[in-house]
Amino acid sequence: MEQKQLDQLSTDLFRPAAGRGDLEQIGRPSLSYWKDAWLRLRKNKGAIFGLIVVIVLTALAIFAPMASKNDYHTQNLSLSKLPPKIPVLEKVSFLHVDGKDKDGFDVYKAKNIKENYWFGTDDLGRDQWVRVWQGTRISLLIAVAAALIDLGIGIIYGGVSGFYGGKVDNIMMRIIEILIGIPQLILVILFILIFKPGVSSIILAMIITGWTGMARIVRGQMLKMKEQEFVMASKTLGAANSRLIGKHLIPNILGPIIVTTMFTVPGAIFTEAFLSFIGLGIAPPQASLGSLVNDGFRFLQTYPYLLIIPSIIISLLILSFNLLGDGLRDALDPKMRK
Amino acid sequence: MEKVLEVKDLHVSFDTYGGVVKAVRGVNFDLKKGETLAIVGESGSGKSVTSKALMRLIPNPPGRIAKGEILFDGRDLAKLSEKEMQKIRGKDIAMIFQDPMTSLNPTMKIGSQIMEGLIKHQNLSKSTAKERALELLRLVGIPQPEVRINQYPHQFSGGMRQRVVVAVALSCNPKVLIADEPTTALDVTIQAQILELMKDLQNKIDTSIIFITHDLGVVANVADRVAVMYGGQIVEMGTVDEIFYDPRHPYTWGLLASMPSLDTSVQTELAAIPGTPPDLMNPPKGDAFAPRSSYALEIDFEHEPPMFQISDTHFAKTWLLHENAPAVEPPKAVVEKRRTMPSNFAKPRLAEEVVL
Amino acid sequence: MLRYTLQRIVYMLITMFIIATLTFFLMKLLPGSPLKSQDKLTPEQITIINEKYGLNDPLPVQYVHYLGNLAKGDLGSSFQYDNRPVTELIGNRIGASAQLGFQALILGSIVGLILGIIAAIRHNTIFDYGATVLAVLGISIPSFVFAGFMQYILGVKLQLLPVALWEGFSYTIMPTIALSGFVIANISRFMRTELLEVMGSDYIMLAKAKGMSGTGIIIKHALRNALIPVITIIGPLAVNIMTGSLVIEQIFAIPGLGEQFVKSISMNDYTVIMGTTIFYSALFIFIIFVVDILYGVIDPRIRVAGGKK
Repeated sequence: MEQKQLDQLSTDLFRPAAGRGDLEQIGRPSLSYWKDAWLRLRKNKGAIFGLIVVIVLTALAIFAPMASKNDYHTQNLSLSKLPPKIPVLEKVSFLHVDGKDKDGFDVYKAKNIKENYWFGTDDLGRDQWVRVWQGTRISLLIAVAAALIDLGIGIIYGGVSGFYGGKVDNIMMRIIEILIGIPQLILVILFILIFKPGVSSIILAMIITGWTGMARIVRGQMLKMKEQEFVMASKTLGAANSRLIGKHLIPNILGPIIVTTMFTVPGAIFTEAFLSFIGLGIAPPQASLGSLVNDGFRFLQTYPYLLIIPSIIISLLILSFNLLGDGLRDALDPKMRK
Repeated sequence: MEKVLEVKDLHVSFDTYGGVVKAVRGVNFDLKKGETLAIVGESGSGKSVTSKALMRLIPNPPGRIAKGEILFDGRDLAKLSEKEMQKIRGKDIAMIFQDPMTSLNPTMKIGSQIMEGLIKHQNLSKSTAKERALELLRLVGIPQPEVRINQYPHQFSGGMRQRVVVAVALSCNPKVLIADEPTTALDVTIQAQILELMKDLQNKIDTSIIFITHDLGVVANVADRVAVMYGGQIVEMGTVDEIFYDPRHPYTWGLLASMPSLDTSVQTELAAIPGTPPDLMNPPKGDAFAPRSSYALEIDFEHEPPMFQISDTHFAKTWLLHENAPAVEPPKAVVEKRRTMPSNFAKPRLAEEVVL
Repeated sequence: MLRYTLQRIVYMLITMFIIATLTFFLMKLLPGSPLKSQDKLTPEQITIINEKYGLNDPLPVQYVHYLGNLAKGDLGSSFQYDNRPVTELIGNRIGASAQLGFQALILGSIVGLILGIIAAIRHNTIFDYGATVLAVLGISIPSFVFAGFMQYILGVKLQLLPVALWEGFSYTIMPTIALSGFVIANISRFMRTELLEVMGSDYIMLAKAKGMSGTGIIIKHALRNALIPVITIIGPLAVNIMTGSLVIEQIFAIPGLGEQFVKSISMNDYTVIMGTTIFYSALFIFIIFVVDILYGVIDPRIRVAGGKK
């Protein structure tokens, strides 16, 4: 624009126009905490993968044993050690699910077996497909139960400790410190030695020390909330306790709680498997993923599928929970909100 | 006077997932030898980004100097390689940051942090560097430097730490010192001490200072000239007197009117500037300040104003200086203090260097 | 610092006392006598043995006796291995376990640190994503699964490495890798986060403003600050390796402490279980203690702050 043109600007343009701009423009619609978290979780590919795998594996664990006409404990030695055979997929050679053993001998044809065992059968002729999903069911049951009970105890203990503070808090935290000092594994082993291995004793053993982590988190959040300026601010403004708890406390405490629980589950799945390895796991004929992997090692050289399939399932399960936990942690942390 | 640094049409952008944020949009200024230029503006006005761009300290990605020149010593800093730039940083141009609590390395002794630059830029031996570090600590007023030199940052108070940061910055006698809000994080009494120290040292080593701040009170104390930034642009620039006693831009009026001072009469109301800074991802059409200004004209929403010149040293970027613009009455606080500037032109001219 | 150390030692002793007590009473709760499995013994023999082990004394007497022995470092003797003292059994087995543990810890720390540093320096590049994926896999895949796959592929299929046993360095490779996976994953993840945080800090900006070069800044300023917090997770990771070795020693048939411990569980060899439990606990607690103190020594903030008191 030249000087001349500048002079020729219409005088109309120089009329006052204050207030024409919209001052309180809000860039985007405000979202509720949960909606916002969900939007962020959805963008995280790993977390969505984790979520889907967890759902699929859980569904299979619940329904696959029901849907099969075989069960996990009936032995039939004439059907023992059949390699996996899955129709359609049997044509994909590298998967080795064509019913042939490692020397390329078609066992199904030789024994004249019509039925397809998708994951093969174990040394006692039990359908491995049913056993794997039954095992997943047990592993999940133990892990989820342990995580939920940890959650309950942790919330109550941590809540009381954080809410009252002072001397109560001090004593309660000393107790936790000593408990944390005891290696978890040692307690678990001693406990199960006394109360024979079984689903409930394994869950209980995990809880004995497991709850302390949750309690510390809840307490920490409680204390932080009590200090926080926005809580003081709403108190000063006369907000009722119920409003404080509902609007401020819950959204701020729930995030860390959900995330911690998400990470407790894979930890518990691992611990259960670990117990199977040291001979303190689920007793046969029951199966868990850990006991199946442990049994699989006996046939490493001859029937590797008995090791490989449950190994993949347990890894996939732990991986999915971890990915989902990571995603939730990122999604639920309002400080990351941009 | 000799120009030390000249910035021409500087643009700095950040590439984010949401789009390109144009944090600095065409900034022009120069810095003369031995003078102090204050850059004033609210958070998000681009003042800090400008100062970091001069040092080429904008993290890339996401940030980049999109356009423009930074002329220093006959060289364009915007085009230097990282290696060449490292030779200038700390030696010719030094910087002081806002928060002394976090700007020193917590696991390194104070002495080593001062000596580092000396060893790098002046090829001093360890022992001479240590001598010089002691001298610097004494210079910035740290008692018992022999003891302090072997201590860690957490053993220093905030004000003492900022003194150390000043010592680090001045270690190689830089030609330009950029101080990015150096007193914001400090107590008022400490603030005054640090400002006094900077002024003192400026006289001793003849450095030019770019002083970034949002605090106009500080500006009056230290600056020779003032640049007011808004929405990534300089909207008004002039000597301290011109900015304080004869401001022309409505945003500067707003800043001055919102600042209390001892001679503000009790009746005068402190005025806040309504609204929030512009969204620099989609800067508004026309004058970025118009939506918040009670002096906005129709044209502000259509065309970006050019830079007008009121005197040799005084520039303002507002349509109110156009001859067709209606005469407006600035806020009371501004009018009360207004003085006539003898060096003003008869009427505002269009600044030549600005091409629309 | 001294006060802190003393406080930690007191805590350590209390925890040990609680573990010893707990172990003792839980073992007493166990169903039946440890001798029940040996049905061939006549009642007279059982009485003699009970007498010998003091099993007929009232519980408090046994308890005091047990604590006294413990303080002397006597963990009792095995019921199964010809009455050999538990300390001797532990001593015979600790060598292999210690070698395996140290190898895994060192390999895991070095690889983990390198991965973490590369990921942070090449932030948001393919290296970073690769290291992140590796870390998630390392944390998720249990060591025994990893061991199984290695045994199958490297040992059985390709026959590159011995499948099991403990007869030379090549035998240690697979178990070491299996145990270090979790360490690598954790250290690299932690190092990456710490280094990224440090690289974004003001003092790194100041170092840049001083004209320091990129590599100089990473080595002199960033690494030290990022490494200090990483030390804190070495303790828990060492504990994790010891736990993991219980399983890994089983899988690879390594004559270590873990393998013996698992065997003693299946044979109901109570004194060995008890002794090994106490030994493990002491080691766990000691490692955590050492790492804590080390952290205080390395971080000048803690070192000096404690020194002033």
